[in-house]
Amino acid sequence: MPNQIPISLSGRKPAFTKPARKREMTRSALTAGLFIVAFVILGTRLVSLGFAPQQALEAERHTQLSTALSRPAITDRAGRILATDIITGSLYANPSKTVDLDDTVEQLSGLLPGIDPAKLRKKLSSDGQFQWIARKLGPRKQAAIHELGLPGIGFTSEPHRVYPAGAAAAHILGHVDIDNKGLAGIETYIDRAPAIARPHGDKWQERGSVALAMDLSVQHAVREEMIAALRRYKAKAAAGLVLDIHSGEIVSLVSLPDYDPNKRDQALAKDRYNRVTSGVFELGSVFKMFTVAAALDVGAASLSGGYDAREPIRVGGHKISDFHAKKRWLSVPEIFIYSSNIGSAKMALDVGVDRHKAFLRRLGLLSRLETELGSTAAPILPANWRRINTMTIAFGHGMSVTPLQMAAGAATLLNGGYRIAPAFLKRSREEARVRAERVVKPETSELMRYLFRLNVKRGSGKRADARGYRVGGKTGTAEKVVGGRYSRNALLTSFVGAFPMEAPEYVVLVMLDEPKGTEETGGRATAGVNAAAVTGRIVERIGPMLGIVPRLKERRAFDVARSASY
Amino acid sequence: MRIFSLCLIGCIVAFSLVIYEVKYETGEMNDRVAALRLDIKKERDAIGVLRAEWGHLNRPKRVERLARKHLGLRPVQAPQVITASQLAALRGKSQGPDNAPSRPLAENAIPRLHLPVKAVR
Repeated sequence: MPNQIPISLSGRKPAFTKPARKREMTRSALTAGLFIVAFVILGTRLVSLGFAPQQALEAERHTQLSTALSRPAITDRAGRILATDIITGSLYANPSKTVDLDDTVEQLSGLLPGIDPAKLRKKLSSDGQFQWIARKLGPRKQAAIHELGLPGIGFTSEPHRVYPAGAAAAHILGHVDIDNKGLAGIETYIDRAPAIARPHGDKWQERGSVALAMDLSVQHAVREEMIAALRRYKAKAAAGLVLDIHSGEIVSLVSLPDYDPNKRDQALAKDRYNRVTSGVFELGSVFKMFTVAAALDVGAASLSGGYDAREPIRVGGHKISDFHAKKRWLSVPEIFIYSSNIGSAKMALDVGVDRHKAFLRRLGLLSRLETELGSTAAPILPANWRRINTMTIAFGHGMSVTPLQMAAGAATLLNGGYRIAPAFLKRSREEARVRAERVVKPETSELMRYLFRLNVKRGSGKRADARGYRVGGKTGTAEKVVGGRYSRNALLTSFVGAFPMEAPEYVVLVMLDEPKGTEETGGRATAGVNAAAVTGRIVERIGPMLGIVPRLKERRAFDVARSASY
Repeated sequence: MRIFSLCLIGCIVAFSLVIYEVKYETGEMNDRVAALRLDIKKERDAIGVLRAEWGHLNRPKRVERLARKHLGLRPVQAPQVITASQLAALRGKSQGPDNAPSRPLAENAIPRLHLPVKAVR
């Protein structure tokens, strides 16, 4: 071992003088310090690298080529799957790595008949590094293309939205585009809601699910009945809605014609819009429920009061007359069950223009309604609200609202007076009640329940009386405006009902656009023979699903006690 | 001192070997984790497809069609629904009024099973 090296590992005495030795020791300490620092740096780096590769790997796995968003599943209130992502393969090409252009084009277009070879050639001869060739291919096709073993092409997995229940709940769910972005319905709500973030890539399993208020069984039953009704009455369109009266949950929403969200091109057809939230209609006599309720609520009338309905009213060139004219003095319940326009108009005047308007505003009928699907269509109101407007609106003319608003208004009248916002997502009654404001007196609500039931027992809504389920409701037959004037032949019929009437749980709304008379209805096409009958059928089917216990013998007290009061 | 240094060198070599071994094992384990993750993802994807398929096969429209065709079932009518207390009242009344369950439910509701059961000792 050479002794002349000043720094000795063996620690042998170097041949230096004392001061020199001291200097040498500092120098070696300094060098040792430098080495220690260097090794510490190297060590930490080594340790950090030991952790790093995994993170890098993970990051790499999640930066995908796919532009498709992964979305949470959507279930009905019982957890049944309504929309979910499945993973499909999408074919892409890296033109810079393609070897034999002609061969690639030929082989691929042989397996993908939907693709134009000329376009494919153009894509493959472009400059870039990435080109989509075909999105969302099935497993069999993927395997076949993989077998070709072509260089420069590859697959990436992409989530693809499927709707297993098909058209059953199209208008609630909506649909998505090829990149899985929501285009309509609750799908757009999911995109907007900050609480439900949707990262790119395939971590969709961890995204959880969104539970709707809708019940798939009920939805199916309502839809089947509405389709049958559309056919039976040869109507152009139809809408059906079932609303939980206390929680405001939309248990079922049907708008016909509808579409299959799996085939999104169908959704573009103009007449397939959601009539319940996006259409406004002059619903006619169903509006009388608000007139009577307003009169009872402000104390302008009582059930024992009445109005002279012998003569039609003439105001400023208009004539208000009755469809089922009784030509006599009518009590308030009679005005409701015989649907007297004259009586309603007079009653509304007793309420007064301002109070009538204020009452409708409190029920949320004068403004857009906010739901998870966005705002509903704006109601159409008279620009200048005068006496004549109050008189016609009293029986549902001169004002158009969405069916959803109509049903929500009815729910408020019947649930004890709480204004509850309709909801598409599942929630509890307590949750809804916290935000609900009481806008109608409970006594008024009690009287309205009675009037609703009375109208089905003795009035225009007889056909809605589903056996055992104590249905109550109001019919409405409105003439549609065709070419600027009301038409006798183009009707819009509706029925707004609820059950079981002694303690209502659900509001049911049925609307038919231009129903025709049938043999069974004796050629008539008014709401009493079609919309009411459809409501009856619907309640009969959904009653057991919703856990309403049918009662074949009705408690007489509810029916008779108040009958005595008029 | 020389022995001490040799010992240290020996230690360094030994530790390096151990570290190399551990590192190598870690790498292997990482590969296994990645492979398992991939498997889990594949399984999850498959479950997703199966759930979608399950939903599709259980769509009410199909179930209703099958129930009508093969089981002869129809939507429930109000007289078919009775509560437990009504059930008690029905007992004994073998000839009920016009209501649907005219006989006690115990006889009607549960179908008798005729299974080829072997005699058990």
